Amino acid sequence: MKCPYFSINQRLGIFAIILGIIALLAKDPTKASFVRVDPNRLILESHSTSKFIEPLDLAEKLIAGNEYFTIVDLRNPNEYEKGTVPNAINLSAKDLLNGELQRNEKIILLSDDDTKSLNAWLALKSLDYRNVMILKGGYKGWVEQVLFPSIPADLAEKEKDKFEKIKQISLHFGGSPRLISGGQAIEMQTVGVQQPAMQAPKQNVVSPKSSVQGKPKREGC
Amino acid sequence: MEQELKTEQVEEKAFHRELFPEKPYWNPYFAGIGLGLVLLFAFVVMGRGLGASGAMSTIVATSVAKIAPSHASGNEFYKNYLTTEGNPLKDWLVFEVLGVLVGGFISGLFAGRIKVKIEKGERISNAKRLLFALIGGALMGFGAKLAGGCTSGQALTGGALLNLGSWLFMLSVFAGAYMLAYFFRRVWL
Amino acid sequence: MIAPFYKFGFFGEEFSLIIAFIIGIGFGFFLERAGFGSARKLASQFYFYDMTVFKVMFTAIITAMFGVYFLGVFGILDINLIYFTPTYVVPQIVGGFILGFGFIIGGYCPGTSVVSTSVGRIDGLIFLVGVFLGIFIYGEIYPLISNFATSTAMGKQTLYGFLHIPYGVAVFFVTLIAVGGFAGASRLEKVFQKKLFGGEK
Repeated sequence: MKCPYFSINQRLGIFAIILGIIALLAKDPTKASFVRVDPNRLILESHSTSKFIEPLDLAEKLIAGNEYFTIVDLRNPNEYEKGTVPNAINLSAKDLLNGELQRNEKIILLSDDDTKSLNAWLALKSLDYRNVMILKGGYKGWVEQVLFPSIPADLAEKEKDKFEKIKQISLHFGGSPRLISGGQAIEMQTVGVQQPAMQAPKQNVVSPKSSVQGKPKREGC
Repeated sequence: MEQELKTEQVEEKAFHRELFPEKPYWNPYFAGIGLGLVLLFAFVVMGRGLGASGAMSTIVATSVAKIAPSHASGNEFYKNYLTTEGNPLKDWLVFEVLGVLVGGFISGLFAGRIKVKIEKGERISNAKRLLFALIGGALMGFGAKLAGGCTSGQALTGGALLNLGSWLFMLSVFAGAYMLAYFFRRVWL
Repeated sequence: MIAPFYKFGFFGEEFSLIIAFIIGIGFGFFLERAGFGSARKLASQFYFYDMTVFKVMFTAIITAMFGVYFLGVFGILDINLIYFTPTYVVPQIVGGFILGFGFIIGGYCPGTSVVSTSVGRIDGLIFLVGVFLGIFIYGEIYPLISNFATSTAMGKQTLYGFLHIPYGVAVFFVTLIAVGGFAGASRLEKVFQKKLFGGEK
């Protein structure tokens, strides 16, 4: 396009201004209006159970401390204050998409039961968040399986190790395992009385080591 | 006085003139587009921008740590640039700056601009010029760390991302330089 | 969204260092092509007769700005995953002024001093040594000034966020400022070339 009236610099300038005008009329890129997620893949994933993580597995991950993930408690702030999974942050469904969570973060959602979590999961996945999981059973599952697991009193030899591990995990988070003997569960105290013990887990927080996979490294200038 | 200045000229050794004749600089807009594309590449591939002073900070912190380890790890500033495991010099910016060294050399080589000399105006001596270079560098290093970046990192990277602080920084840099330009005209003109 | 590639796990840390080196080569190459290995050319910006610094910097800025903006709009690049330097108003302004002083006194900035060293300039090398010195001094007195250095923090702030205008509008105005600046710069160059040297330099 040989144009004798404009020098190459002037042509560059005009091109820049045209791009600027297009930008003026285009959409906001931070709102990600053009994110394309394949609906078929989304349907398949919503049916798969691989998005669920068992409370005991999460507990083990927290103790090992070599993975970096964000635990999101979707319940309302009162319940969050009363007690939650260690390291969990509290986000309502409204705030979920406000940009605090990054698309490449490992996110684990939890709520009262799994309904809230599933809805949040779908919302995040539809915006192309890559790594979203759900704590199976929510906080109730955490309480029942990690903090206050039921351990049978009479155990076969090979089962002893497994339940010993469960007991250790429970104690680590400040819970107390309850023994079951002959089908009769020894009554455990109600959740209300356990408050002090349940606050303690928040302090014994396992912080990820600095060389942890995915932990943000210094990126300044 | 004029005689002294002229005889002090460091010999310009241009050893490769026969192979690579000296060429003029590129059209600044083309060079700018090239630079912009490199920056964009960094954004798209790494999710970060360019930098230079960060690499130098890492080198300083690592050196201090080698000489006085407890002092370094106790200092909030140095701590940022040291890691508890692995070699702290295995840092993104350090590798990037090494690349700058190579890239600059390649460009200079093919354009016949490799010369061992001292850049300065005619009205100042070599010694004074080098002294100013040292002082200027020190001011630069200090200011860059205070502002959290230098022109490559903050001005270019932050500028392209429309980062408020970076734009304020950029304006301040130009303002500061223009402010003193008159007083240092003998160095350059 | 598939970019930034590193943040979506396309490759690991070791490879990213190789990428760093390659990016650095490109960076140094274009800096030298523009003439930034020469302190005189860099300093001439501040005497108005050669506005290359302004032209190169702002062209680079708007090029990358367009790239980020449009790749974001097309859903290829996740802008939220790009590292954003937090804003500290006063330290950045004060630091910027100090940097400006260093620029006109020494004739380089950290990046260009590396380029200058690579093409054999002794003053570039000395400047680089000075940068190390400056950083060392900063590190040593940091405990005393750390409060100042982290004051007036605003976190992640953008021009468009701060002015409450859409991102695209900001892009448009920056483009206008840049292109207008280029035209004005060329004019200034002609005026000062005549004034200082009586014609083309």
